[in-house]
Amino acid sequence: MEKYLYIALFAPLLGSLTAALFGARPKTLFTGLWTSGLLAVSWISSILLFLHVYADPSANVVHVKMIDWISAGNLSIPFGFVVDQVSVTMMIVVTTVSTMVHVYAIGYMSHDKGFNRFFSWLSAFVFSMMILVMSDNFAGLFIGWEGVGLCSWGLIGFWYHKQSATWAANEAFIMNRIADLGMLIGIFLIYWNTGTLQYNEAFTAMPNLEHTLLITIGSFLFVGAMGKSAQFPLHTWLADAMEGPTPVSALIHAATMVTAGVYLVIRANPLYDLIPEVGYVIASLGAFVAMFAATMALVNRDIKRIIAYSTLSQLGYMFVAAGLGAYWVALFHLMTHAFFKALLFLGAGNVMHAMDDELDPFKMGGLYKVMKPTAILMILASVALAGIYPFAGFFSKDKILEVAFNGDHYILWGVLWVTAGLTAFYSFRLIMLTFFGDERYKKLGFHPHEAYPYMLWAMAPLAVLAAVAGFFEHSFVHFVTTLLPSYEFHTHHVEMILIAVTSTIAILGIATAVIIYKNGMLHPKWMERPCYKLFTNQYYIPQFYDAVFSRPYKELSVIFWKQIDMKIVDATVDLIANTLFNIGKDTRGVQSGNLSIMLRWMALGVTMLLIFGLIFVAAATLLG
Amino acid sequence: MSEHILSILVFFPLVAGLLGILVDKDSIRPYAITVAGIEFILSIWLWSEFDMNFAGMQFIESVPLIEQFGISYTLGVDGISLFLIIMTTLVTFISLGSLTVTNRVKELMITVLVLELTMVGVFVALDAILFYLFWELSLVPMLYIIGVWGGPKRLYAGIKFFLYTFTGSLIMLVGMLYMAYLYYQATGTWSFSLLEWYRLQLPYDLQLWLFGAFFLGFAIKVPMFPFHTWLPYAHGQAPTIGSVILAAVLLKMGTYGFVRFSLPLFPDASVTFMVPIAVLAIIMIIYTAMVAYAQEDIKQVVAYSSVSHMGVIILGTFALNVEGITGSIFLMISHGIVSGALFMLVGVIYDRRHTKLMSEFGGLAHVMPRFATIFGIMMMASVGLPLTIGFVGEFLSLLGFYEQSHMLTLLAGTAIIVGAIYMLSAYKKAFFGEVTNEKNRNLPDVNRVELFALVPLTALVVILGVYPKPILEPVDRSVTAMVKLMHAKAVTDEGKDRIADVLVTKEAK
Amino acid sequence: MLAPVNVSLDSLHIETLIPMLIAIGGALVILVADLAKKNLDKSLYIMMTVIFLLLDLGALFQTDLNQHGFFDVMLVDGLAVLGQLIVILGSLLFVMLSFSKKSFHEYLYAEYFAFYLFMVAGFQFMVASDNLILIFVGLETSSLALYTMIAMHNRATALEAAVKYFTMGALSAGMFAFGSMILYALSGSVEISKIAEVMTASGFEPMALVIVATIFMIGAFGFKMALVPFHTWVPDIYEGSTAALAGFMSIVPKVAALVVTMRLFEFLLQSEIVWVEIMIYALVVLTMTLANIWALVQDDVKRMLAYSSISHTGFVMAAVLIGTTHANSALFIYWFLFLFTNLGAFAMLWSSRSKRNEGRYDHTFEKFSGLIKTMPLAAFLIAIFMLSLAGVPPFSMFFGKMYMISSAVTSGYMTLAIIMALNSAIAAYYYLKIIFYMFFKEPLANVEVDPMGNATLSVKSVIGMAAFFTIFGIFFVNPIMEMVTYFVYTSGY
Repeated sequence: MEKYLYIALFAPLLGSLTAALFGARPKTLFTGLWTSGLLAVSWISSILLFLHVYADPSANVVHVKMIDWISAGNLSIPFGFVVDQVSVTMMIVVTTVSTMVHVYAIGYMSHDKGFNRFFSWLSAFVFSMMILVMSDNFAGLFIGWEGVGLCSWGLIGFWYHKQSATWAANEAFIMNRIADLGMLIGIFLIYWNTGTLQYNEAFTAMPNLEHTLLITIGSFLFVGAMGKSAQFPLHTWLADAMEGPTPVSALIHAATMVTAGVYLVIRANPLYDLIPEVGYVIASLGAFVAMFAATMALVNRDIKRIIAYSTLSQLGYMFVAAGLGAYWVALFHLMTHAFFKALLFLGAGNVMHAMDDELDPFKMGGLYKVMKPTAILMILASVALAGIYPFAGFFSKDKILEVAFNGDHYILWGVLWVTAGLTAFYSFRLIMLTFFGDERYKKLGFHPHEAYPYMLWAMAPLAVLAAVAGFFEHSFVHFVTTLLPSYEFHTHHVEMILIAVTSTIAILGIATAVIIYKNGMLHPKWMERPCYKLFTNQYYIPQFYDAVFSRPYKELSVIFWKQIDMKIVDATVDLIANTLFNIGKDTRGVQSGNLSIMLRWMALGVTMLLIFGLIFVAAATLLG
Repeated sequence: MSEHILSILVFFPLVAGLLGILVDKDSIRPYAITVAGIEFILSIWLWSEFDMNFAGMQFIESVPLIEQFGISYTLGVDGISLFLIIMTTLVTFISLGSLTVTNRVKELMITVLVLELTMVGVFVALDAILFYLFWELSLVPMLYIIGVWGGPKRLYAGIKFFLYTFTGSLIMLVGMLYMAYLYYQATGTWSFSLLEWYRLQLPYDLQLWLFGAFFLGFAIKVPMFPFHTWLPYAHGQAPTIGSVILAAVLLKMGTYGFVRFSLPLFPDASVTFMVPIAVLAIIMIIYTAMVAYAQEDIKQVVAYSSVSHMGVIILGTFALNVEGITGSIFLMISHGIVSGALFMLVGVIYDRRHTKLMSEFGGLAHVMPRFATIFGIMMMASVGLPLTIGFVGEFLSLLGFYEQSHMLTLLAGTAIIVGAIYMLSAYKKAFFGEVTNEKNRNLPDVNRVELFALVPLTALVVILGVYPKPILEPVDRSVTAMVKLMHAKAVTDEGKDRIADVLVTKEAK
Repeated sequence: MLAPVNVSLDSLHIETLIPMLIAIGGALVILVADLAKKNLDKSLYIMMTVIFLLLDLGALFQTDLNQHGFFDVMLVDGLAVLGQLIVILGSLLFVMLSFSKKSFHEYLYAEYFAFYLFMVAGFQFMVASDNLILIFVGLETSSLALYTMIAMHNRATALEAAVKYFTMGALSAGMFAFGSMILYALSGSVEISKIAEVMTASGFEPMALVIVATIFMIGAFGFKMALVPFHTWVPDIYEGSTAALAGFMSIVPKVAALVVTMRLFEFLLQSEIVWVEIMIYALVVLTMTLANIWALVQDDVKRMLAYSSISHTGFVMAAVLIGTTHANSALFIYWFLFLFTNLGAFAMLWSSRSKRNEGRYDHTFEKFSGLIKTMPLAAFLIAIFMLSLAGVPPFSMFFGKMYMISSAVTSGYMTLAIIMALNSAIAAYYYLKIIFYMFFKEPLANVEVDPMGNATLSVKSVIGMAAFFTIFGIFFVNPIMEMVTYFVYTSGY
């Protein structure tokens, strides 16, 4: 089995490197096919590994130690990889989505001169992501963690001639770095208290640590998770990350990377089980973000940003589940969400292509006629997202609500419940504005066209999964709970009611959206409302960050350089030197060359000595 | 022959360099490159001869110079110095190989070879005076490089560089002489031999004074805040090769001095000064990073960034545990490679455009993709991305210091943030966006000579980032021995418990 | 009716006098030769001088240690030997510089060389006696000879210099006389050792007189060694006289004076009088620092070297203050190394000397700009001498500095040690200044400079030797150190 592990892990790297060789060259279709092919290989081996583990979850966990990486003092970090129930699930999600996205991207990027570079970066991302999920220690996790950060930097800023793109790239990287510091501190704490960074050893040691310490560890690790999963207050980068090519948004900023935070919490479940209070904080934050993001999605006028916010809000859902100890539920939603959200994004990609990269849905409408398949796929995805039976979203999302209810966290439940409605609303607002209503694009002179068939075919598998994934719930539970703690529901009596309630609000949301946007739009006067403004301006948080962090930092830097470093630190050094020099200049008058003055100096010298000497004598005699 | 390998390593560049005077000035380039290459091979040979399982000093040579006063010509190498030597010879070789200077090139090449003598000498000297000798002598060729091939303000920069370091090291000399006197009092014989000094267990208050004296010498060289202001001038004025060697090797002399002298000789003082020095280090990390962010000249960005990184090295050194010190030494090597490469890269555009102002550039990624890629890799190494050489050292240094102080490490950890900020924004300014300046429209991408310099370094950055073990292992071994020694020598209780006894913890595992 | 005192000849230990007698004899021979035949070439005189100095040196090695002679006015102890050694060696090397390519006025006269030998004899008497009167005689002999030699350069500045030197010398002589008078009044003896005994017996009472005597002695020797504020003559005198002679003055007279000072203050510092120590301390620090600071702002290399030599004297005066064997030997080691390096430095100036006067100075910094282009070797030699003076290892002077500072450290003079260190740092600036001119500046267009224009083979060989000792000094430090320490130790300092 190990060879499959290595294949699954290194196939993407191989692809990335080969593509990199052609990086500077103009488009060669080969790179696209080659990388996609290798990803398929990686995907197949993941499946094989899955089957292997699935056959006997307790015995067949694959665990390899490739080589030592860092060892100093008592610290020793190997390149170790583990394929257990959790990581294999992640592997399948990652490889599946990324394979599809690769194939899709061959079409999407076909006219881009950075074609090869794109695939090099994309496969590199997959490789990092695989390391992230497969590593058997925190350091390895951190490698992947930073690796995906790098790749997302490269891919957000892929069109580096655009100022906005590169700016967004740097923002994403730096914000993630802030979070990574928290992660790093968490790792240090784990090392100095358990003496190891290996998951299993560390987790076995943790119960013996004192509670407050565990809380600190848990919190710091979660700070790291917040960065990657763009939780409030580190969320702003995700929306800006939409500057990147759409396949990137689909793969990185919807399906995989942003869920790394959730994965971390799930992976560290032995730790978070010991500290439910932190878990509760996580859950609350998750709920807050779910709603917070949803509100912003309600009014946004950029299809990709709308989907980005919905991603944010769905991540919120996952954190609620994870925080409340229903790890498998979180993982389940992570998986289903990956499928339908990727699908949604790819659909959006098609729309963008059709509309020459126009993003404002208010300029679209009625596209259903020209691009039926895309429309259908996106509607399907939206339905799944809204959580309508029998689509995947329904199963996973309702479980989360149920978890909230089950834990007697009614407020959380309420928040999530409302959010479910909002979700349904904004998803269909998007659908309606884009595909239905009057064809506003006509007078703007767009000539939309459907994407290449194979792009649609690439979307198809995701569509299928988005539709049916939910039905595997039980086998899934059975499988992962052999590793993750199983979660007891005491709510079977109200289960049906809950489902009903949730579904109703979802349907209501859809209905309102359809009614409002069926023909025409929201009445302009709504747009005057303060809350509408608040939402459109993302609660003024970006402006706030700019005013409070970015600009002061820049100004302070300049002050440090010009005022302090040059005018104080350096000036003092020169001052000392110059003083000495000037003393010399001013006192060289001693050297007049005039004989009598010279003699006087000599005489003066002696007399001074005499005077002081006699004073000294006097003093000495007086004092005895 | 291998018992005199160190002497050969030290004096070969000098002898060959002096013989180089006879070579015609148009043909000096291949000669000097060959010499540097041979020197590099010699250092590799040293590595192959080196016994990885032995923590102590190896290849020790000792010849009395001034018996009367206990000054002797003593050389030796251990895991700590071994890789600094190899790094030195490598960087010298590569920077000579990619030299683009055209005027008075013969002088320059010979000067660099002489400089190499002093640099290697510093790392192998086991006699304080000998160390001081090489240490001071290294100023002269560097001054010469800045003074002759430097920019318009080279005289000011040169004199500042020389006098500043010279002053510091003279105070250090007083410290050394006093140290020798203490040894004389203890044993009745004069000796400047480091290994002899290690045996001395000094009373606490004396340690403080001596630590102070040595600190001044080393801190100015490193350079630590607030003694760092000579560095921007030196880098700003020095030619590319000067900056490369200065950043890669000369700065390391200071940090190496801390590891070789301050820590093992004055363990308790090191513990006492740990927090103040850590504070300085943190100021270096954050403050200079911000200053770097404000720069308009890309070379200055790199210059200030080295100060910032040296801060991390200092922090790791004063973690006073194996993880931290090993990390700091690894970081010395990695920073040598990375900053050296970055300065070469800056040199590459400087040769093409004769300006270093970022405002002059922009969109270079369009015209010079290869260049942009290599620069990108080096930048990522410099911001300490995992699987690049930069991460290992930074990670270990911070990890090590975390044992001593949580808060300070949290502050120092911002290095990974502020570092990213100035590096990424500089990269954005220079490489991203449209090509605005017509002069950049058709710049040639990196040529063969430049690739000769950059590709090996890039390879090292990745290889050692993925598999640092060959270096970490011997370093770790020697450092472990040193920390044991420090623990044994510590006289105060605080010293005893701050410097963890390696043995105990090892058994505990 | 006095009974005749008959003295047996062998009790006189005439051999202690032999070295001086050789020098004096040599001088007479030269004069006679000149009488016999007019205008013989200078080379003859130079070589005769050399011969007699060599004989002198040989004789010095014959004398055995620690004996009094000639009615006990002579004292041949370790210090005496070391002192004479440096004096003769220095004279020997510097006279070689008279082989200048350009002919200078003074070298046309045999008297010049006669005076030279008289002067050497004078210095030898100074160091080889602990009798204040004989010291005075030696002092005056040498000084008068020196004044005349300066004057013989026959330039306005030279004559002016001679006069200044003479006048101030007279003043200092007066001080010396006055000082020794008081000492005699206090102790009834003119022999330093006796004075020491008596004073220690009397517990240095009355303090006031002791202090006054000390101060006058400081005045007298402060002038000879040019300690601040008795240094004012130095720059002008050096400027007025030839580089060769200036270099000579920076070494030989000072060592003589230093030895005497050492003899005197060895016991004066023993006295419990704090003031004496304070004075010396102050003098040392002032001399080192101020001279350095003034050297920073000079426009002429010779003047700069003049100030630097003052600063060096201050540096070694520390040895007198510290007064341990370690320190005293450090002084001699320092001076041995200083002799060679400074010889080299001044010789380089000397060989760049042209006959016409460019403006006020002979050796402006500008004159050396871009030397590396016109004459690399010369540039490198000057650079090496300057670096050595600045105390950059491995050049010889570093070890002198090191040993000196270490002597301060070992006897608890921490602050002093630090001050010394910092001063070396300040000094580095002006030594680098000329290096900057030579290496980093472009040659002057208008004036053509021939840096070796005045150098003959012998001058070059002297420079070569100086360079050799400066560069490889590290290998000679140990033997010198052993010898010096032995001599100093045996003579009980």
